[in-house]
Amino acid sequence: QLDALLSGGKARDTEQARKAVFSRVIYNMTMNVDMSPVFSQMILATPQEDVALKKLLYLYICTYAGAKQELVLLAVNTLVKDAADPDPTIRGLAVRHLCQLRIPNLVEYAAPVLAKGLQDPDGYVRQNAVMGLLKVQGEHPGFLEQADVIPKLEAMLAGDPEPDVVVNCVHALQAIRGKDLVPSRALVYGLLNKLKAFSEWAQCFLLKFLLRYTPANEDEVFDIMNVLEDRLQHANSAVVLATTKIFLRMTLGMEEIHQQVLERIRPPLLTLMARTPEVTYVVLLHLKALAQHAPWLFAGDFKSFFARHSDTPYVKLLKMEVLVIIANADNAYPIVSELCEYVSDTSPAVVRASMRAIGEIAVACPSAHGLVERLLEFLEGASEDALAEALCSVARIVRQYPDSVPLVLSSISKLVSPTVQEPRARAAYVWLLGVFAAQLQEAPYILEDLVSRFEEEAAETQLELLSSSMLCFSARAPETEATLLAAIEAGIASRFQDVRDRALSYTRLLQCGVENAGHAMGGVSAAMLSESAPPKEPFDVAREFGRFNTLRMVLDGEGEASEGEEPVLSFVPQGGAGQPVAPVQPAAAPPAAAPAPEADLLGGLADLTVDPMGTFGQAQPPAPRLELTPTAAMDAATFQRCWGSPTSSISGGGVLAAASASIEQAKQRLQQSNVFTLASGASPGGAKLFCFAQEASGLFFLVELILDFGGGALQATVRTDREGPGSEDVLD
Amino acid sequence: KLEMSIPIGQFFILSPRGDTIIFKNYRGNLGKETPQLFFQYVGEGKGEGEGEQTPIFHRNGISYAYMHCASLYFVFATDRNPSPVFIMSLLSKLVTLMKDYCGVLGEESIRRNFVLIYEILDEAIDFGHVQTTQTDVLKAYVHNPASEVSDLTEIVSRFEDWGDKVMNRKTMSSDATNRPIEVQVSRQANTKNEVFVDLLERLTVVFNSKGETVRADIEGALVMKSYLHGTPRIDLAFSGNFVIKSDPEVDLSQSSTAGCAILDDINFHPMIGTTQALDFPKSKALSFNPPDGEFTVLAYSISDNVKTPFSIHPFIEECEDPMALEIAVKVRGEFQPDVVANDVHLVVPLPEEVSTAHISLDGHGPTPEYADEDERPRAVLERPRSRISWRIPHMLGLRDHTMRCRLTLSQPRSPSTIKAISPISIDYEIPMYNCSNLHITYLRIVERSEGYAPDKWLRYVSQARSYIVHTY
Repeated sequence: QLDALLSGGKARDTEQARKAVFSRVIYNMTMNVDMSPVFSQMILATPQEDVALKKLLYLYICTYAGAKQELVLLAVNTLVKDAADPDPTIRGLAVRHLCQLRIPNLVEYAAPVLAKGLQDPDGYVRQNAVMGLLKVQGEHPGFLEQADVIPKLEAMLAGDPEPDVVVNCVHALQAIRGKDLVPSRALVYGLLNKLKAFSEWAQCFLLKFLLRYTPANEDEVFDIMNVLEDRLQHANSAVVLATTKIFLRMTLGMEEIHQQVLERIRPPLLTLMARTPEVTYVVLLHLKALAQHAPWLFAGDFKSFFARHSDTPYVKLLKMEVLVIIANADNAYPIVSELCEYVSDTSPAVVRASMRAIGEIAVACPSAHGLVERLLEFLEGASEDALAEALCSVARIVRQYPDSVPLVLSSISKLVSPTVQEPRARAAYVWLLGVFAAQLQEAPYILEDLVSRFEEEAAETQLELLSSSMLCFSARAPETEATLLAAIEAGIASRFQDVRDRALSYTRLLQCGVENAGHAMGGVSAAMLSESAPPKEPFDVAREFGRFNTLRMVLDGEGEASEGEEPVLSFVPQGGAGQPVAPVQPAAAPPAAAPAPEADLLGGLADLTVDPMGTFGQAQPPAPRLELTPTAAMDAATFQRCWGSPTSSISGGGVLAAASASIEQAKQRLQQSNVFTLASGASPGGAKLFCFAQEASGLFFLVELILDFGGGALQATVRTDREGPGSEDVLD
Repeated sequence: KLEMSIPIGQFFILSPRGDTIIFKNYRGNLGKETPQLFFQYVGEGKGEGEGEQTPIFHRNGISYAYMHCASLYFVFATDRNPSPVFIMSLLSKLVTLMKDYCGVLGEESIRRNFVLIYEILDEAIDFGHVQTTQTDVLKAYVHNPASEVSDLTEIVSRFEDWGDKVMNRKTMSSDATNRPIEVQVSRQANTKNEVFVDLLERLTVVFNSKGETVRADIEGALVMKSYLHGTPRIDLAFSGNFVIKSDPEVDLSQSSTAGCAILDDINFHPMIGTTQALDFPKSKALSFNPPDGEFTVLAYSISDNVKTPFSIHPFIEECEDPMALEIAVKVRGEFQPDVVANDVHLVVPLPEEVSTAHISLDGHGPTPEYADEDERPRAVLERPRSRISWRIPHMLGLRDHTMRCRLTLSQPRSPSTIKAISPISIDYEIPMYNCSNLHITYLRIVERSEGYAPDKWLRYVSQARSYIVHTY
């Protein structure tokens, strides 16, 4: 029927009717109806001068030419003919579509057309021809090298008057040369001077391209930044961010200037938050990265990160993450007050995140007053979500700052039986009961009640019930004996392996005598309360700035995009005054010889005393007395359990070598001796490490090391998980 | 291996049911099943109760960036690593372009204009690289005319951007701006030669329970929608009563800046050259050749000394009866009596345990006669998210409105009952009013041709972006 319409006289006569028929063909085509039978009629029915119909025709041709071999020649002929049309628009379109055909011998047809297209007087045709080169290269790799168009492209890059053509040349050259394409100084200056002539999108692309250029000296950095400064005022967020990246990357080696740059980019970046929710979201991700890099930068702007009532949940969540990062002693209270308001939000995710954020800020800013009090308000009447997270946060704070115990105690005592269902929150609550066993009158009775339904709880809650019963018992022995026995009995019968293990180990501990058990648990509770904060993950400037303004930033942790990371090129002044901040390099492998398979446990650290230069593997290892397996493994829970119920324990002290002046160095040295660090934390002037090692016979050694970097001393306590020889040796 | 930074692999538009309306595959490297996969992932996000899926996400090696507007999904898919801000801004731009060309955005208008949409997509992005997105440049290459959709429901579902609410109002020639821009030069004679100039300000205001302003910011923008014929130049000037904070020549402590609006930051459309932009704090004037369609000439933000247009006083009384609670909310427009706020809408959240609510409304002074029942203020209890929705269709300045409500509860009240009544939010629109007091004092359109007399529509609109009061 369409065939008839197309070839019929009517369609040829009236423009209107023809258009309707074409539209129908295209519509059917997009609906996956095979329209190829009318191929030749379509070509015949297209008048030479009607651009609108031509466009429809090209769309049609490109769809079917690849699939139907017999139509290829017809399609190619039409397009090649149109590529010589007097109308530049038709020429451009024909060039573009010709190169889109997915056919085997495309090069043969396209090469002459493209060669001519590159010389075309019209910019639109040249623009499409350059893109055409790229397309053909994509289908037939190696095409560009053979066609020898690279010099031609380079000439156009430098001399073409049309910005749209120039930018496509950069695309094409980049496709051929990949990362090897590094712009020359002349090209960089040429592009910078003409930058405003390019479209906003081309500007983004070129700014990214310019990142490959390494300025020769400081003056050049200033020149580039001066030229680009007004780009920070651009209405397009993408241009502002691309400029920001250049500013940040080029000044990485110049500390003072880098700080000024951060100050300079601050106001325009904050302005970018006032866009559509989607753009705001991606901009916030970058602000977050900058805040991690320099938390002080936005500390005064904290109000800008307060969530709006109308923000989408994902924007609110992200704003809270930034607030946590920029919180300091001065702004913590107003931030926490604001976060308290989010508890009435309609999204449970936002409510939970707000409670979590308050906890994090309270832990991070101990000098700010009144934060914990704000959090405690939510223990007395809040939604289930808020209560659950608030409990977890309170537990975290108590763990960190034992001083807060009296403050928290009164709130916890009011919270007789919380209605939270979430295992994590229940576990936190039970843990708090254990900690407050001595002070909280009701603790034993609440525990008794909870223990009576022991098997209904999740594993983590069961574990806490066991240890809290134990703590409670050690604090108030006679009245809680029944509860403890019930808990242990239920624990041994638990369906969770971890819970059974802990219940059994408590049983053995109690077998050693109630007195000793109580003493041991007292130590445990003290240790729990002084748990040091997990060290903050260091902000890797090189990595983060490499990812800045790329998708990878958004997709952190969700899998990596396929592209390799760009190298960070930063200008580092040669021999200038001041300490350059070199980009952080991944920690270099120690220049040590492969560690000897056998070494004594503390030998590594001890021989630091005779090894002032810090070069590893120079000193002869002492005669082996102990064989430690290099593959020992132990998780934190097991460690805690064993530490809490040691079979033997020995302490001693020694002198620390100057070379282990940091936790990292000490860890490395230990590891070379097959002693593995499970947890470590900095304390004023020193560090505390928990390590373990396994002897060839399977015996575990647990070691607590207290290092004093200032005084150069070390304190060690070694415990074993069962009877065995060698504890004394280990300590040596 | 081919170049790395190709931003776009595919673009597609999906209907609310997940049908593919438009599918453009720029590079052959992604499969045809991406739209279905995308729809599945977006659906997953909703089910988790964690709010919507984030606007950019990554699954199985493919990254998706999407906008959800007019109930449609506009999506980019890529397996490369471009700048997220770049693709998101580009996506917004494409959506604006489609709106410019189709008049309104909606499933029906896109289906009817699918040839045109493909044409735009083809010209704007080639082989994954952006070519041009300027409406007037595209116009030279886009040849298929738009078919207008006059379905009223389509006009309502508009792209969420500056002016989304404004354009829908009955008060102004709202459907005038829902017209597609003209594709062929020859047909220009048939269309009206006019330009719409809107100075829009959106407020973010937070009051604490003591009635103090915790935060008050303005996001302002000068938005134009041009249907002007020919290639005219627009000259415009602002009133002198503002300074820009970042301007080094401004000393904020000086008395000469008293009474001025203090702009934190300002940015301009790229057509405004650097020299003009740098000169703007002094000259307060701009001169430019407008592109076709909708564009933002400049945008600014203000966070100092913002005058808030509404005062809201909530009173919560804990009755003797533990099962009852009384709430009164008084709202007053802090603007002149000749200014009218439209569609004032207050939302008072209520505790979940509310069983009934008796609501009464009163204004100060004699209650005006409402000719039309629709004009009368109303307040109703809404379920299942218990809250009072109180609408005042027209609100005159300096006039108090009060809503009283007695709640009966299904269980005795607790501290959390009171806390649930927060925050009270207000949404409104005030035409011919702006909080910053910025004004356009001069607007001239210059064209060479004889008898060139376009219509100029200048509006000021103030809206709430987020205007809330905490009650505890």
